[in-house]
Amino acid sequence: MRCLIRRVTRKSKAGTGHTAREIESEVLSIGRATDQDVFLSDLHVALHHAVLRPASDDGFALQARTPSGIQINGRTVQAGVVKVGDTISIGMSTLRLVRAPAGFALAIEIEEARAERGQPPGAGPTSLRAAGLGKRRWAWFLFLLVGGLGLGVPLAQIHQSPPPDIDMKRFQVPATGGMPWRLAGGDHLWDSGPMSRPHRFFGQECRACHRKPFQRVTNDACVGCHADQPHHAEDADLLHVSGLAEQRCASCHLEHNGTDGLVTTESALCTDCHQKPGKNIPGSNIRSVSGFGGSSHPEFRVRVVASTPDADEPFDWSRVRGDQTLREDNGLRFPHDIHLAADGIESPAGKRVLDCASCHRPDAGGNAMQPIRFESDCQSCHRLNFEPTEPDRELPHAAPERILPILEDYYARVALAGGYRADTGDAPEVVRRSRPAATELDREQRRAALRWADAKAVEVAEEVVEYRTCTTCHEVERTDGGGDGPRWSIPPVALTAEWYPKARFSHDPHTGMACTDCHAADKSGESADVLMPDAETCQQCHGDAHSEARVASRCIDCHGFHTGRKFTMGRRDAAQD
Amino acid sequence: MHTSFLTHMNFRWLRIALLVTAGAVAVYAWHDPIGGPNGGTWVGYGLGGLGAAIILLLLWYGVRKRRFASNAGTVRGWLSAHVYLGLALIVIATLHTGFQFGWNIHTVAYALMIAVVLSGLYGVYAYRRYPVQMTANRTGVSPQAMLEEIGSLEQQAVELADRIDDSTHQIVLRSLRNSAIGGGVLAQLRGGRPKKSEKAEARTEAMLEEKNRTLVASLDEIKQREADRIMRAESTMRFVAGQLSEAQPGQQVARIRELMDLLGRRRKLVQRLNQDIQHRALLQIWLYFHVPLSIALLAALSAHIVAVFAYW
Repeated sequence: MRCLIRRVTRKSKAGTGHTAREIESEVLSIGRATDQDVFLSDLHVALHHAVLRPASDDGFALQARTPSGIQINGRTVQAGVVKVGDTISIGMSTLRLVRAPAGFALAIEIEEARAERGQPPGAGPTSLRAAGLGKRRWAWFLFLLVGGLGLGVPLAQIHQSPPPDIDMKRFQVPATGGMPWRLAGGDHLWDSGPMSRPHRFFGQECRACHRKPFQRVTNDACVGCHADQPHHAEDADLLHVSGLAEQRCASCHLEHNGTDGLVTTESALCTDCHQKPGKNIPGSNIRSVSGFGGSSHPEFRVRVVASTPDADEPFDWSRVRGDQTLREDNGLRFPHDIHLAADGIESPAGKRVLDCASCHRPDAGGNAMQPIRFESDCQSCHRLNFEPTEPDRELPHAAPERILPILEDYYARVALAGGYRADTGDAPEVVRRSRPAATELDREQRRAALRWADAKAVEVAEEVVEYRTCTTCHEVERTDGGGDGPRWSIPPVALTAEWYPKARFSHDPHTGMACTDCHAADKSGESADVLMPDAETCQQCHGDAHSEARVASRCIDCHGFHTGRKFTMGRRDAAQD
Repeated sequence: MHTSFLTHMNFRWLRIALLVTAGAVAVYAWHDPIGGPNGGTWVGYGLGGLGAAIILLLLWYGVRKRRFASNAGTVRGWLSAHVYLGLALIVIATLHTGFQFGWNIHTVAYALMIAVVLSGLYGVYAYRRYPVQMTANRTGVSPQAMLEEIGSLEQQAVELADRIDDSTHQIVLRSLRNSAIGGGVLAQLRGGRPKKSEKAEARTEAMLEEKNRTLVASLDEIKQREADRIMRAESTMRFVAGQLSEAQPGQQVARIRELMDLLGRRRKLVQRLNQDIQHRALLQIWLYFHVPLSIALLAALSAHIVAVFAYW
């Protein structure tokens, strides 16, 4: 094996100096002994340190002959295979295998370093910086990573893509909005908290609501869907003066604040205006409310009906303070106490014990009561029958003008049929005697029968309307004159359905209580008595929003904000006219 | 009298930090905003602004400490403020969040801030603990001087070993190769030398010891044999040669003793140097987290503020 040993003698900017030597040997010995093929003077080299012999076409086997071993490319080993380009370190010397010139099997370049003063050759880095740790690199990396993903990508996304519209059609196709930005996080990284459940279906598209960067969400984004949401008041001036016309939806409805929805329940949202209504609206007659404890809430005003002389609008409702004895004029006679008597009330089937629920039935939602109707709530006792021989035949309700004609028809048929025995008085023979159905009556007989029938109809009508049935509950007005006999009329009745128009009350949560806890029906002898509770009645159980002695009640438990009927949030122009 | 950055100006910055923290807690406790406490209420904006201002002030410390000509307070005062306001920041920023966290840039900023403060807290601990230990360990010798002495001891050892015999030289070389001074980041932090190098050194010393004992034991025998040979010597020439060969084992023993002494001194020095390297590593490692993380925090804070107002 022909080897070229090239020794670097000088290394400077000017160039590198070499000495070269040729060796012809099968095995190349390396060491500090003078007989070695490759002689290294460094004391860190053993006398016979290693041998190098050809192993394959282009590889050479390096075998250490001393326990301290050799470093091949920085790794300490006892034996290994080296190729052109590898570096062997022994002590402080470096041996590089370089491409052999033509005619040589192997060329080695040797560089013997002078020891650095006082630096032991085996010492590693002695400081973190020397071990390759740096602050600057990491700082830049993290700065660019966080800044890029947190700021760069979302801003680029805003710049590149137009704000999307909320489209209900999105329910039919999978949402792809914001791709491919979302793969890098995109503006979704800016999401400040969980979206409310109703809005989460478009929560991936921030700009459905945040349409213009650096501008607060405007109502346009909300009324895109909620155009028909009622406004707060009927009075445009009031909406303006109070500032509600220009109010942002988002000032009450806080999004990104939890999944529980956007209806804020804090009473402070109401009382910030309603505690001192005069502050925003000088001269306002809106009364001050600060809560529901004691005097912080004004007395309820109950809607009470009164009759008017006007025939077209016979009733008039007004709201009257509830903390006084209230009387109304609803056109009906109805003593609650008799109906609720503990030992029962007379009925066609004997004594019957009634309770409130016998007549007052909650509506399907459980909130209010179904309207009282004669047919369903009264007629089972207050029957409109008139003829003892036919107790199941009844007159129509609420049709006084039809009573007499119906009776006339009925008794004419009875008289002509004959066999009527109930009347012991002056009924003619033709009426009382039974006869076969096909029997023809002569003219006299018919006249006598019909004369009786007309008189009987008037008699029965007078009895039913004026004495026995109608007048039990109604005022009755009779007009005589004209050729058609007497006529009766009954003044209209108005049973109030909505007692507290500014509040919501549901019976449903109150079913644990007795009706009479709030409505003193058992002590009311007249239908004029208004049996609606006042504030004090409610305050026996309900208190302020922060009360710990009562049911803590917030404004929103009884009142709503979007209760106006005239204006909607979507048509703000209406509130601006 | 020497005062540390912790006691600077009779705890002035501790008192300021406590005052600010107490104020923040009081306002937070008093405030009952609609929708619960969060960063978007006026208290939230206030705490956020205060926190951001403190963060910028703390970041500016990195600039101030490099400005030797600056007269804006002493560096020690700045460091004192840096430490105490940094700790106050934990409370202020946490109240700013209203305890609302999520997978977003806002919580990233908060987490980075907490990481920076915690790494700084370790820094305070390290600066209280390690300088004292370092001084005790160094006994006035600088690490560079230790390194140079180790180098010189090693040079002496290999020279001496070479004069004893080749096998000793090889043993010593192997021992030095495994000396393990310093090393990578983990090795420096771990401080203690790898078991392998400890074992290699122990083995070397045991071998030298054995060699020495063999030599000493055979010394008398050799002397006797040599004496016999001298008695049988026929010429002065032979006697001198005998003297020389008799001197050989005695010299070997002395050299081995010296070599063992050299290696022992070196080993102790390497231990002290490694201890010093560990002290320095433990004293500095937190900065490699504190500084890059604080720069990342700057990016996250900017993104947080821009995000909040871009999507107002």
